[in-house]
Amino acid sequence: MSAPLLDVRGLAVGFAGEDGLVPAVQGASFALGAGACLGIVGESGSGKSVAALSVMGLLPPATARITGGSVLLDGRDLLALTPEARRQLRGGEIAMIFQEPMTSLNPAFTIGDQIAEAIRAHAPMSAAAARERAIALLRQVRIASPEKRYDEYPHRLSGGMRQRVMIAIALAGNPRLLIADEPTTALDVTVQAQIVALLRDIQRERGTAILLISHNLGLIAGLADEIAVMYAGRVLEHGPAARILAHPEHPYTIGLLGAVPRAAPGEAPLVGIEGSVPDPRHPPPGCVFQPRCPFAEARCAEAAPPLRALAPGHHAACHLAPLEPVA
Amino acid sequence: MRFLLFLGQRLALTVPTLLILSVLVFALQHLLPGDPALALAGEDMDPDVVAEIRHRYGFDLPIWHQYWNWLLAALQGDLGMSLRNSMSVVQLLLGKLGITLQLAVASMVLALVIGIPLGVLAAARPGSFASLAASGFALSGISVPHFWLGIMLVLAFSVNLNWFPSSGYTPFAEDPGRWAMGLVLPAFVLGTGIAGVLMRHTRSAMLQALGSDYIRTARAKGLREQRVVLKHALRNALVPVVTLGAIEFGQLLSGAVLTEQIFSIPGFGKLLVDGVLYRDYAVVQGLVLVSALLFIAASLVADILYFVINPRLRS
Repeated sequence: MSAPLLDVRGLAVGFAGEDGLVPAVQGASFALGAGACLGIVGESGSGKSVAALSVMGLLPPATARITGGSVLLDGRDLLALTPEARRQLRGGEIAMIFQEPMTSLNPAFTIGDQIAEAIRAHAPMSAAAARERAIALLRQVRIASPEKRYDEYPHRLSGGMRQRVMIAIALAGNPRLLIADEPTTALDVTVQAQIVALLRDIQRERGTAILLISHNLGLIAGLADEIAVMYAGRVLEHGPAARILAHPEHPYTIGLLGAVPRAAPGEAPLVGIEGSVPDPRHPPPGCVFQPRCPFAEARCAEAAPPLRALAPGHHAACHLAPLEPVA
Repeated sequence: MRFLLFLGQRLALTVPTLLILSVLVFALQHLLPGDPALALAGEDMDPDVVAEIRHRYGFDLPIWHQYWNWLLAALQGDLGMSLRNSMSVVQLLLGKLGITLQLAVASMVLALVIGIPLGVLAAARPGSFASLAASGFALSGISVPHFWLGIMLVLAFSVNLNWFPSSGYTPFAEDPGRWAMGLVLPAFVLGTGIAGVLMRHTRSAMLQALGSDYIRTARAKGLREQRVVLKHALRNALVPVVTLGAIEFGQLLSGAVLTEQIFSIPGFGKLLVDGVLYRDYAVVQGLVLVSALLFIAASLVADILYFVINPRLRS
């Protein structure tokens, strides 16, 4: 990948806790080319949402601290920009949709007002022109009779419709990068598929790069060209999506794949990963995944493995990689 | 249509409230110690006179009959005669209503203009000096007694600095300048207390609103922080504050007894004090009834505002 659109290097973020900074992201690196889709997968607490909010510049200022690394957009370090410059990027070059469509829209204003406001925040125009564009956006996210819907309040809309409105708001500034943080988690399964299809069309038709964040590897598999697997604030494995899904090298990724439900009969039973994400204040010695890893050896508790290239573009942080195929 | 239905429901709810209220007000006369006929007869205790009064006022009728007569008269706008200055109670109340209304409006405007911006400021800049100062103001506004604040303000601004009249009320038609100056200190005394209450509610409602997901969406749009706070957060935070403000206003309308007394403003508060002092029962009854009516009206306005400001109720 040459000169990526988004290049996050060694990002470290901590949150102010009772006894000092609690690390949430520790040296995470990932990159995303223009028009591509990178999926970040991980359990809750893996730091994937915090990493996304760092790119967006929406970390809670009172508690969160970025302690290291850089976030490059077209080679420009966003972390070095003034708050005002970052505000102008938000909703413009970078847009974001969230997990909770039910609460992410302001209940006191019509959806049309909320879309038009996003349009006018980045391209000053008359209210009538913004209305036209907002209706066009509603049509693009496939909301039926958009002229009528424009004047409705969010509480009249279903969760799927609200997420479409959120996507319309995100598209208002013609972003080059769309961050989707668990965009379908709160929705019904059938609606999930529609939203995924919509995101795929947006990526293809508008050339918008998508940073897709989910705990659901199945969702990521359907959209992403590249996958980064995060665990306890670190990227444990990343590479081309097809490669990672077919030849996962990190035991954690293998575990995640085992936990994806499949509908086909006679497939292997669902396998969970034993244990839970370590307390970020007291990380285990050596490899962070070692206490839960079924393959762990003595050396895993001694030193943390670095990310190593195993195939072109495919990296994993495991002492044991490449694993021998299990028959 | 939906609004009319809502309004109809709310209006229907006031009927039982008013009926209970009327019973309480009517009972006031009978709960007070002593025979009202004796009280009316005054010094002249001639049993014939007392009996005559008892018959004339209907005190010899069964209690439910008396209540019925009183209710019928009240419904026709007849609340009896004041014993002290032989005016009809309704006339007396109408004369004072304007004054109390002016003071209430002035106090409320002051309370809104001070309380809501301070609450917004305190929520938008938590931990800042401005936020601490606003909280301190709210605490003193709520806890300083009106009579003390009133007397101190009179001492400072009327007696020493001679900026404002120390007491009395000048009708607007007589001298608009004096009218305005005369309202400043009492409105400040009443307004700061309410401003404190409004500030605290605004702050907590704003803090809640600012933590919402839709605020994150507004920020993700790249809106200026000012717009995020003043449009997206404030509009939602105002829903409970508006209701509270209307209730506070309803309370102001029943007259500020102490404040009107300190500044010798001849409004409802002063009328009530005089009515109680001179045992002018009809006036006290009328005042309680009218104050309660005004309060119910204010609550109704609060409900209507709540409906208007909250789109979720409208559909």
